[in-house]
Amino acid sequence: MEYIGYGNNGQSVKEKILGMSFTYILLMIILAGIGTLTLYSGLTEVGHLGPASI
Amino acid sequence: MRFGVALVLMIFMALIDARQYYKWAYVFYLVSMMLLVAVEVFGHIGMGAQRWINFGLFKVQPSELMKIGIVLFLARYFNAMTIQGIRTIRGLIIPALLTLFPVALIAMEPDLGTSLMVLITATVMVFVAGVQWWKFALVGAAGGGCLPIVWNCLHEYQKNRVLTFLDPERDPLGTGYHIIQSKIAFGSGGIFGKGFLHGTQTHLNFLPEKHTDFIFTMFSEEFGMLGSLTVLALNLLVIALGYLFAFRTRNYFAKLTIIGLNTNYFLYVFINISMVMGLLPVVGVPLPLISYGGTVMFSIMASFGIILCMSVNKSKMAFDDN
Repeated sequence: MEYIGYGNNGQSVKEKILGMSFTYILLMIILAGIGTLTLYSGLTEVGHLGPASI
Repeated sequence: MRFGVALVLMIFMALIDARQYYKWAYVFYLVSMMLLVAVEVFGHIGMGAQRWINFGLFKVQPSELMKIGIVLFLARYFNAMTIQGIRTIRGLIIPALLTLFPVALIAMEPDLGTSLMVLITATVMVFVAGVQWWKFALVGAAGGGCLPIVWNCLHEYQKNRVLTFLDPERDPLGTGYHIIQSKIAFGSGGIFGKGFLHGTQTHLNFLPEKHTDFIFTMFSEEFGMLGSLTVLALNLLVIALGYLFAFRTRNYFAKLTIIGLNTNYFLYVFINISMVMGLLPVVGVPLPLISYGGTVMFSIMASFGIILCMSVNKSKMAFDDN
């Protein structure tokens, strides 16, 4: 069996990227966005808006 | 920034040929296992547990690597077997031993939450591979019988977590403090929440670990029940899509890998959200993509990358050992 490194079964990188589920990636980005927002709140002390050192 | 780097890692993992994962599955498992043993010998101690290996510039938590390693190992092992072989006791001895060994090593760190996650993920994969349900019932019954022994092997703080789970009011200012404050914060958020940066329970430091394991509590206080349901729904969609990919792919190795990694993600979300609501004992499992913590973010995004890689591969391509 020949291992071609990138791609799958002769698919090019472009074909592979286009074959990925963008809904799946979008959901991850939304969740990470919520995470960043919540982390900002979690690392913010009362009385000022800058993230506190942990 | 952290997510951006993890996203690049995910895309890199997704672009690797699926056959490479098959080829290197055993090696990856072996390296993870060696790192787990190394943690026991000269691991870095932090917050009372010996979970990290310090490489100078960065620290690595081998148990996170093992979550991927065990999935790749079992997927390759079962891919090479016939259903008749899987259903014999002999066919199950190797996967059982090679699952229980890392589970025991992780439990000794001690990291009971992660060891249980590895065990449950492996169990789900063995079930999907076609092992009869009565064997699980048998092992479950034997495990139930061993509970008194397991209980005696637990550390004092682990016993306290279980006792606190059963009755949080037994020590409200000590072991029960976390979970009581978490429930108060949840309830105080109401339906619409107190607003961004206005969570009193969390910002007045009543709630410990608010940016790590208890971040969902903080989110719920600020964004209320509607916000919490949104996060739950988004996670549910990610999990459902993962299982849909597994259902669609025709390759057995890819199917098992997706199911294993997706189950691991499901366990993260389920255990974290249940524990902050008092439905499970506190075991120190973060909420993926949301909690603070680099290793988990990278291991989860690497898992997503592998899932995407396998999902693109819908053809029944041959994975063999030749």
